[in-house]
Amino acid sequence: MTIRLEKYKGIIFLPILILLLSVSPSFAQTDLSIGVAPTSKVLKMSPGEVYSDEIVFWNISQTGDTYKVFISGFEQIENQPGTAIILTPEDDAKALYSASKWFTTEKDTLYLEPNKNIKLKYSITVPQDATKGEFNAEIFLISQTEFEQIGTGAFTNLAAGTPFLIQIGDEFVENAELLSFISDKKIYEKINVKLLTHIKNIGDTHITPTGEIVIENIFRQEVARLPFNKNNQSLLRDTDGNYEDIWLQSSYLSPNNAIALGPLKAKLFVTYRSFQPGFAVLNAETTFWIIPWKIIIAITVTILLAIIVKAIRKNLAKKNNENR
Amino acid sequence: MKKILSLLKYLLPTSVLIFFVSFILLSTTQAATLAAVYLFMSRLKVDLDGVSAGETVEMILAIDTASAVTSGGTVTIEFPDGEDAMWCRTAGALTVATQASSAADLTGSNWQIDSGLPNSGSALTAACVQGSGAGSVDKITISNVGALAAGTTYGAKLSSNTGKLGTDDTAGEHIISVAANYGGTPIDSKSFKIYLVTDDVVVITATVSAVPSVVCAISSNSVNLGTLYPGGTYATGSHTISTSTTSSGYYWAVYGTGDSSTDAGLYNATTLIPSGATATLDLTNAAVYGFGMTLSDPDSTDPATVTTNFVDTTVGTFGTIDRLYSGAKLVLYQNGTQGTTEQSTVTYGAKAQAAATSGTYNEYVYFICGGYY
Repeated sequence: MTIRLEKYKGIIFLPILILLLSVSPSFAQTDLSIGVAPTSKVLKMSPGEVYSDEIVFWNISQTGDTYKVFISGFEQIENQPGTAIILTPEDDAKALYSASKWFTTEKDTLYLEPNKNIKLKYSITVPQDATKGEFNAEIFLISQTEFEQIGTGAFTNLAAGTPFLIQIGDEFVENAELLSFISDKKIYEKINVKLLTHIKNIGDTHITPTGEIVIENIFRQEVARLPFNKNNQSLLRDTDGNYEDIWLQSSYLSPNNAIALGPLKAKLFVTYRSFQPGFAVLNAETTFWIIPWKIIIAITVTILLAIIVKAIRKNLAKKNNENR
Repeated sequence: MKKILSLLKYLLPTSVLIFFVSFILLSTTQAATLAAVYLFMSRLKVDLDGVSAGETVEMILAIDTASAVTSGGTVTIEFPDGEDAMWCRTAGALTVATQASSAADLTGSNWQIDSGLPNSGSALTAACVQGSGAGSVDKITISNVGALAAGTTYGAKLSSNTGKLGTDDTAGEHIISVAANYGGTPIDSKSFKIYLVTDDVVVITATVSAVPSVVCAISSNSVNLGTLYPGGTYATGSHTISTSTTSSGYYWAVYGTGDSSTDAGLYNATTLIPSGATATLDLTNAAVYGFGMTLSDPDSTDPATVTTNFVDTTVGTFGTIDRLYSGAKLVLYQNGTQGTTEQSTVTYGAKAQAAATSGTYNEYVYFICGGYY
């Protein structure tokens, strides 16, 4: 009996060992969700003025979550107009135009129940000694979900909020500089052209550039007209940002039958002033090529093949005549 | 005096006799009270004309007699005197239908309809007549009523036909009398009050907000990367993020925490598997280690775009993230609204360096979502 156990102990213990080793760490998973309205707010206020309103948050996941409320000045993600990232407490304390200290909210944490709106009331009190300028702050929620895990992994937190731009005073300098206007490639096979515009805001308030990009072919015929910054992404003071506009077209013929092949020129016209915008236009041009090389090669090969076949037939016919 | 006394001799017994006889007569002719009755009206607003749009009136009558009523009787509803032609706006036939239940039923009580009002063999009919002057009232009569058993609550629904039902033009209490009759004589009856209000419609309003909104979701708050071996191959784990917005676009940015001082990445309190100084990490390269992520393009036709360093087109290559808010990197964005939710798969890739100590490594990744301002 002992001999039999000795003989089979490998067979018995190996599967047990494999089973033990194959136990994978378990993670308690929770889905996170947050909805927010409004997505941003621009206010014009005066020193000493008080403004109160509310932001609505909601949760469409199946589980409730606790979110911590943060109030901080913000900056845009590098070169990304219209985006907002809150500052660290240290940076916020140093930020000249942070309005975070003007804000109070009724709660420090919010529990977002599934499928239910929660209103967060807030109040803004502009100090009497506030100087003229455009200030900013964001009311921001970050999830505080408990993480329960064993093993190596990544834990996700969800954050969203409402950025505020608060203008104190009336007269602002709206000024901008066009740093570049280029296409992401010089040669395209298909019409899927990404036009990149880099604008720097050198005024003392945010700007929302708007305009058009007109594309012309070699015959100076207009083949496309694109709205510039159709999403109205704003650029904060003292920042610069990249705007992307995509020209996507399935046909090489424009609606007015202008051919969109070969060398093309894109002309940019941008205005950014809220008052008399026509007096401050940014414009630039860039060129690129549309060359459907696969089609060109296919046609060329077909033509060459046709010529070769014709030549071979001609030679065969000649030889046949000579043989006779 | 003598004359008065002789008069009293006749007057007193006569009075007593009249009193008792009248009492007997009254007690024999007085109908019993109905065991239960209610009149459930479709509207309780004053001055409904029964004709105009939104001013029609229907009534459900529930009636339980205290005594049995022989088949062939009637059920009547009488409205207050002085409110002539208000409840019966137009005299004439009404539509009557049996009603087996109603929303006003009080379960388990006599005020719960047990069955529809029976007919006598001929179909139920109903009509309303208008009162005219004092002592004459608006009245609804249901005819061809079948036998009514005591203790059973019967229901009938009345609505306008050629006759039009309405309501009085005065708000407040109005006394209604309902009777079960046979041979023109009330067998059981009961009076009760109903209350008319100036406006019985509560307008529920909700505004669909025109304020731009954005909804962001992450499918899981933890992703298991399994076991990493020092100097070994890379491991992956994933979850999804989804977004919808009525704003002009949305964006997702990401930052990590790492070791809280040098870089983002997986950390076990002694060793950091860093997210790296380079924008991307090719973890298929034996010399490269670290932590990064990719995102799938939520769509092929929409303008949702994954930032170049985070595209998932090259297997094994992952974009790196930085620490803190200031290090947040844009990973996904869309120009234009996105009414329906669209989804992107976030895949984490990690490879431990040869010198990595054993233990559990974690990275807390913050996903920031927003609409453009």
